[in-house]
Amino acid sequence: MCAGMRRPWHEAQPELVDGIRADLLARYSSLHLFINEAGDAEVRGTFPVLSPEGRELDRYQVTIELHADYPDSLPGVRETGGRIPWREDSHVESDGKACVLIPDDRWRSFPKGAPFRCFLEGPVHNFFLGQSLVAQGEKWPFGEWQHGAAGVLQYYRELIGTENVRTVARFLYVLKKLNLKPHLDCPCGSGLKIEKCCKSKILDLRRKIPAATATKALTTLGIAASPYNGPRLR
Amino acid sequence: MTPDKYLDKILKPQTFADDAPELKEVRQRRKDIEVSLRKHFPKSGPSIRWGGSMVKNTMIRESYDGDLSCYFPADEKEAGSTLEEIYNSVATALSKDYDVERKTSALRVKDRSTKATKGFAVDLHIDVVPGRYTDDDEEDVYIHQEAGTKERLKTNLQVHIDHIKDSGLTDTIRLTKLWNCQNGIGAKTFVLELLTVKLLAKKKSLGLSEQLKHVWTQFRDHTDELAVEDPANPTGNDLKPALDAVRASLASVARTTLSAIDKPGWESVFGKIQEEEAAEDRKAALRAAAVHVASPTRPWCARG
Repeated sequence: MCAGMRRPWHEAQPELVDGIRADLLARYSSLHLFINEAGDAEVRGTFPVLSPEGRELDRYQVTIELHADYPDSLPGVRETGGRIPWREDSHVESDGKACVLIPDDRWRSFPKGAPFRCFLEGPVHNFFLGQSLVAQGEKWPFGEWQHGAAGVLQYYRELIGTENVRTVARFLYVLKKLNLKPHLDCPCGSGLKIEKCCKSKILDLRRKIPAATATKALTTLGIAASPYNGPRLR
Repeated sequence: MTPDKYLDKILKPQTFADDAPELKEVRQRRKDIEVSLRKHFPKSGPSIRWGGSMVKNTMIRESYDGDLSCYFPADEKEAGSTLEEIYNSVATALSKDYDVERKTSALRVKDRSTKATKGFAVDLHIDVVPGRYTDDDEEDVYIHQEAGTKERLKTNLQVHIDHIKDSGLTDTIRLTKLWNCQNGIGAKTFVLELLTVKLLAKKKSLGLSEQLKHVWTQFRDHTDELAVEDPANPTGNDLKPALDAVRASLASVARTTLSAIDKPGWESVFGKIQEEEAAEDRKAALRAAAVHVASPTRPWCARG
């Protein structure tokens, strides 16, 4: 192996592979972890949509790609049976990859370090349950995010609890900094210092949204400079 | 319920009625494709007929398709002088009306009109296999090979059909195909059919469940020894690469499956028997499932 070349996660961390296989065997016996011809790990088979009592309500053919940087990166889900259109309103990218959740929200259902089954039981289950309902003429059961940057903004508005874009930008700016500076003006716009205002809220948000995620969100939203000087929104 | 009864019930919804809308659609598409090909090759009069699971009685709803052979007479040159030219000219003819995916010997036909509404060309479940008869008897054919070491392959559609259809094992084959599909193994159907027939050659008196257990036990315990040969061309068609590509997956999933049969049981292999359910009941069951979701998540789309 060349110097500096990283071993694939499934070779470097066999305990992760064993954990995924054990989870699949116990809960999703028609899904299997394979190493494909390119040497990448993927889970293939059929995903059952189950009722709370365990009755199978629907079933989808899937491939779930566990990329080279797994478990840091989110798995990529594809429905391979041709049932779901590759359209924005179906939440499928033009290359067939399903957007089962907004990546910024992974802390809620599949935080880093969580077992793979959390991904299946949470976002994947919810996505396919939603697809089955939509196919029956129903709405998405838990709602849906707007597409692209609008969805990211919508997400942070709800998470932070504000309609104000500048407030969102200021919170993201505080979240992207590695250290919290309590003497800064509070991003909520109250005019108080962070120490005297939203410190606990910010600490909670920092547990959910890593600095890198906040940085990426600022880029997606087109916020180029510190919003404390007045955010420049693209 | 006995395992054999369970497996019968699993097969039932996998079986198309003769007037099933999916089959009607495939038949209509076949007519359209045939018209298109005959229009494009008016002089040579290719023989166009169904092969594959459509005539082998091994079709399953979970993953169905029809192989449509398009064989030209031995001395006819309208479609091309070489097999590669024939393959390419049939692809060109089909491309006028369809999206065409080039496979090793076949051309997968897709409906390009659905790109606007679905974002992809919908698979029509038809593989057109171009070829040329080896002589005037019009039995053996040569087909072009896009990949692999050989440029052409000698084969015989009728021998393939008879080998599978007359094996007495079509229900077992359908279940192995369902298992292959549901578990994402990716074994080529032809290879899986041949394996099943070979491994059960002396086990035909067994019931479905024992036959399947035997096949999976062989996959699990003798994976390196598995071998198949093409009944139409035992020495010329090397199926080893296709088998090698899935050998480990067959063994690993077979191990899981056999262990699941022991505990908790057959229902964990193919799922519970699906009773006919009214659309409203199904909708209500899905809604109820949504109510019980502990951690709701919403889908997104990076495009926007």
